[in-house]
Amino acid sequence: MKLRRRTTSNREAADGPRIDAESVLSIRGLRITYGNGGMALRGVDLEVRSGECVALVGESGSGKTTLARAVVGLLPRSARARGSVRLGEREMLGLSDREWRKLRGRTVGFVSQDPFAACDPLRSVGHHVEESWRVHGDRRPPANHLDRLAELGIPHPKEMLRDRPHQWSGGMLQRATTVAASMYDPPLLVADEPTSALDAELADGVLTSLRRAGRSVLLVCHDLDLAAKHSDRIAVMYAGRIVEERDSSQPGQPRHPYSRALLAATPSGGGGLPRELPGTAPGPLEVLQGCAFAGRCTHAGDLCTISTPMLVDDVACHMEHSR
Amino acid sequence: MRKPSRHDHAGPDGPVVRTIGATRVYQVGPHGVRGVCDFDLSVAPGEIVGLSGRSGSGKSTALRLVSAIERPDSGRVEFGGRDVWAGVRGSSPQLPRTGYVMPVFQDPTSSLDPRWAIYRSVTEPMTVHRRLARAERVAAARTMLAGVGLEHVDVHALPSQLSGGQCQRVAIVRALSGGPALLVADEPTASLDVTSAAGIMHLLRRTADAGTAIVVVSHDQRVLETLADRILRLEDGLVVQPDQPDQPDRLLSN
Repeated sequence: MKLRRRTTSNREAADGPRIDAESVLSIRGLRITYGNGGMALRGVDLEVRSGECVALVGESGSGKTTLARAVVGLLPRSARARGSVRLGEREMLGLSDREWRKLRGRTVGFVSQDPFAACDPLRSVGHHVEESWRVHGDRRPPANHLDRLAELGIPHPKEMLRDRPHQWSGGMLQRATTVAASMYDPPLLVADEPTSALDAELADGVLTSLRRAGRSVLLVCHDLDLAAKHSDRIAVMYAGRIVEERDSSQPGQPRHPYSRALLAATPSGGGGLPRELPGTAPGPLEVLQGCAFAGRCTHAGDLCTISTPMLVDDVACHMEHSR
Repeated sequence: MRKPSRHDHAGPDGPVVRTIGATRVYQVGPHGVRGVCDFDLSVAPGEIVGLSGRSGSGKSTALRLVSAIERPDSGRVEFGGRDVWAGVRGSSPQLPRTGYVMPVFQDPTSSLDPRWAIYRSVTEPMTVHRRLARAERVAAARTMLAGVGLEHVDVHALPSQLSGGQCQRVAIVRALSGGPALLVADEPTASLDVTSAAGIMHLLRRTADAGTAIVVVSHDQRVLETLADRILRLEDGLVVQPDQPDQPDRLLSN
């Protein structure tokens, strides 16, 4: 994809935070509690460096989506956040909706889970793509959106954009929202399960384009194979914490027992049925003592039920630490 | 839970469902036509057949023909050796018996009534033809749910109180409660986590081993390759030779 970068003489340079070449996103000790007292995140540290794609994987309810939404300032009003989320050098926690509206799209782009929920059914698809620059007061697109749509495999984009969202398939609509989110080529693109509605073949193409357009990407993905293929680093989440981080290209089995169970449950095509992981993850309302995974873990020892393991040396597991 | 008996089929080894040259084509928007052409399929008891293909390839239409929800423009659809649309004018096919074919949907949370306790959803197919006391329904639901590893789940809980994987188990139990000869599942694992999906795949395999024929649609080739005995790949409404795709790059495998 050919990226036409805007000159820095526009407001982007004046308003937006300065993006550090090393770290695009830096999250420290992030805890998020919802209005009902549910603890969606129980202390998360995460770094996304420039040019890097980090994938968040884990079961539903592990806090992946909450983490992604915290980074783009789209948490519900009832959510209370503690800790720090820095985009470049600017602290993003506690910004007003107004401030967020100026930054979203320029410093951080967001592709949501359900494209149909993201679009007004009464407006044309073209209207939604246009909104990505209209919301910043620009009359003309910062890049050729029709070319970008065509590159993502939407034929005759000019005519198709007149359609309403329901006339498009979920996959096509998701590609249009991807184009809209990356219109200003933001330093960080946050994508929440952007391909769950797409075919495997198309998902590959969309993630590749997403990555080239967004430079650094924080990708929420439940498909381990897809995450490994398109990311540089994988962070495995469980019950509101990151339990393991590792390079996608690193060979060998993962170290945390939960990561291993996730891998064993992934269908591999041939070679028998995937292995079941019995039990369910603790919900956000449960007060946890010790390791959240201890109840389902086959290796859990006495220490695991007493103290919470910290993420040391890229893995949060007492059994791994004592090895 | 009624087990499928041999009288449900043409013979002990006769196909549960057979389609011969089934064709159903319709116009979608101004941009093209969708559907399937000359669709031939035969599923034996205890067999799992997978349908794969991109979106728009005709998977769902094929599944609607197989489950006799849709009437073919031409061709035949046979259940237990009998053409279900023979001599039928309207849109209700002649099934060998009620509950011969049962569906499992993609999104378990929306396929269960959100206001109904799960015991009601699970036992609903049983109450179509006979009245059951509440206590009987609760007891029947408990037995059936225990059979799929949900013995700890409160039968009075609402679907919203269950996880997605648990809801899908409930939906499968409901589909099985009438003892269907054929189960059709449209993307049964697509909206689930890998760990829940693995459990559902085990459950479907066990169901087939007990004699039920299953047709499962999935866009995920890996799911079909692990689960199905045979895979038919559809492209633009036609069955193409099942190709052997490249093994996906495996994450963290040794």
